[in-house]
Amino acid sequence: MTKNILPGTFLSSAIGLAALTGCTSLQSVSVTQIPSDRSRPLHAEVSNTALLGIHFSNDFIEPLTAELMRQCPRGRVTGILTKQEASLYIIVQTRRVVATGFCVYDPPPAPPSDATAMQEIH
Amino acid sequence: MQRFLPLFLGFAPSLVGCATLHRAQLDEIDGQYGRLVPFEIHVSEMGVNTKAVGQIASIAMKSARSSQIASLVAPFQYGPKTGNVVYDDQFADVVATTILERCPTARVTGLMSLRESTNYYAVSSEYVTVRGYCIVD
Amino acid sequence: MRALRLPFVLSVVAGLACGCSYSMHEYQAAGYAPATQTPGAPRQAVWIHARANQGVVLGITDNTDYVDVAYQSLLAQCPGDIVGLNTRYSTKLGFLSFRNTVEMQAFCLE
Repeated sequence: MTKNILPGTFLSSAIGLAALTGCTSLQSVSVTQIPSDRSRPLHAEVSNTALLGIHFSNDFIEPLTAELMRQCPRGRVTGILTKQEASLYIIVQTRRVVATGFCVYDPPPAPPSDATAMQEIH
Repeated sequence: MQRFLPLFLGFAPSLVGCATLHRAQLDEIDGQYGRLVPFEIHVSEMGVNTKAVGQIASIAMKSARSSQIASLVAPFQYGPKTGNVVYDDQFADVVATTILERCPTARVTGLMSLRESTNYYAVSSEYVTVRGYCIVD
Repeated sequence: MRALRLPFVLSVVAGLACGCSYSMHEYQAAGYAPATQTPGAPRQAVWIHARANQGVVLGITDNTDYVDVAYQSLLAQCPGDIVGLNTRYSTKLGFLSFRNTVEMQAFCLE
């Protein structure tokens, strides 16, 4: 009796664990150049869930850039780590794109120090 | 001759090869600071489709045992796959130093990174291609 | 010939199942322009390198945090600009389990 139960118990436990945890995989990763000024970290993510993994559009990705720009008004977003993930929970699939980065404000260009320009105006 | 005909028919499509693009990424392109000189780096590794190897061996030996053995190998190669299985995942690590060889000043822009493969049924060529531009004065 | 066949087949199976098979998913080279523009001569660059793994059994996992670990490890090695990023994502295949790896090589501008 015990011999028949154990494999079935193991299998059902594995299925239950998979159902609760899901199967998350990394689809794509990319990194851009990273600044020395990391005082303003940014984070944005978008996701989209569909039954049986049947998605009808990829529009869920559009707010990502706007969200990063909202967190960095009139600045430069750089050092961006982008991860594209897919998670499967039995019959439901979730796609997620996560972007983290840094907001940098470049210093204004220095004014010209050449006195000749001022003299020409006069 | 007739014995080799199924083997030949099995191999014939693979002589042409089937190209697949798995990933493509493009970096920023900055043409403001000088002339752009293109370069291309191409590294590859042989990939193996164990199931296809088993099928070809079964055809050649007229025995299903080879396919069965190939099926036994499958649980040992469990996991997410892009293209066929390779036996060295560090074959593309030379790209970083090769970019510097092509552009010693490290002034590089317009990098396009491609992950491709050409499939010959039982074996394949798994490629990483990086194209870019050196900025020269 | 028949006597040699079985050992040959077993050696092929052992070779294919030895746990040294990989899948190469992605390689990206990007970010060679400095993130912070500074006047003057080009800065000295030093190679830095970070790697992170994730072991998965039966495909059951709920996160991709190993990518963030590799990224943070790279940041910790360099207080200056990090440029010339080369990122590799691959998986080592095993018996009903696998190990995901993200490896990053870059230049640290001092």
